[in-house]
Amino acid sequence: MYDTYIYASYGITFVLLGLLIIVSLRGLQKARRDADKLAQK
Amino acid sequence: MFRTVETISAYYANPQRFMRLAGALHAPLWGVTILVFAVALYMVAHVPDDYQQGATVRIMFVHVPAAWMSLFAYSFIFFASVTALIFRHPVGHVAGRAAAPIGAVFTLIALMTGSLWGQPMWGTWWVWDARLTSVLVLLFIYLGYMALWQAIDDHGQAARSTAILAIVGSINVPIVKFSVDWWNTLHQPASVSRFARPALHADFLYPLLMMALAFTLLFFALTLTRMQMEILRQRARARQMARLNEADD
Repeated sequence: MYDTYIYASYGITFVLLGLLIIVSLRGLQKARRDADKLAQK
Repeated sequence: MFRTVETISAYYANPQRFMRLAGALHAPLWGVTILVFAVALYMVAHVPDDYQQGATVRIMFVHVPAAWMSLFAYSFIFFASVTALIFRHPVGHVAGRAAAPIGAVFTLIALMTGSLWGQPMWGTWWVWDARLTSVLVLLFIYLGYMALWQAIDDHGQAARSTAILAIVGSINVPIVKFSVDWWNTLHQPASVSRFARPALHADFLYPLLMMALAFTLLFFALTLTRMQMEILRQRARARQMARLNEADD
């Protein structure tokens, strides 16, 4: 009866956390690449 | 104990040393976080329905840990800001800035899942009671803290201003925590406390604690990742500035 509320709660939680994880890991990757580039110049 | 913490803290005030430690911890911490999350989700999948709330009790396993982490993350930013301002610990500002978006996301999750839990249980998505309103204020404080970092160009000035904002904003943390005791709210009082016997049956309590551990580990894994990113960005900025100054000379 209340399945929609449960799925929506878990969906929102894991989508938001997933986005945060992706943004953070990609941000670190980019910062590492930029640091390497600057060190090579 | 305090002396040991002070010694370790002073040792890792050097961003170079901190980066070495963070580099070594990065992969194992993410590994343990994924493992604990898998165990927690397995436990949650096997939780029975509650005799009053039915299956909607499952929302508790994401709502409550997210709400706990929203306060924990802010307390972390508060201590990082105090350390940075008073002890001039250079990694303190980095830690505060890194933890803010994580705390904001946890707060947003707590508000949204709370609303999705409130509709079937209370018959409303939102009420302006003390707990819900103070958590919304917490989200605005997080957003204000992040906006202030972006708004000030001078890094030192931004670090000091945001640290002061974080310390002033910490007044909201006890308000969120004790709002259900101080005022008459639709939101229920705490069911899990350090000082009293939990009001939850073990079938619900252990999966909840396991999920809370998974969220805590995720917070530290994300904070460590974002701190590394922040230190690398600061280094790149400093190097660019040094090159521009050389070019000017």
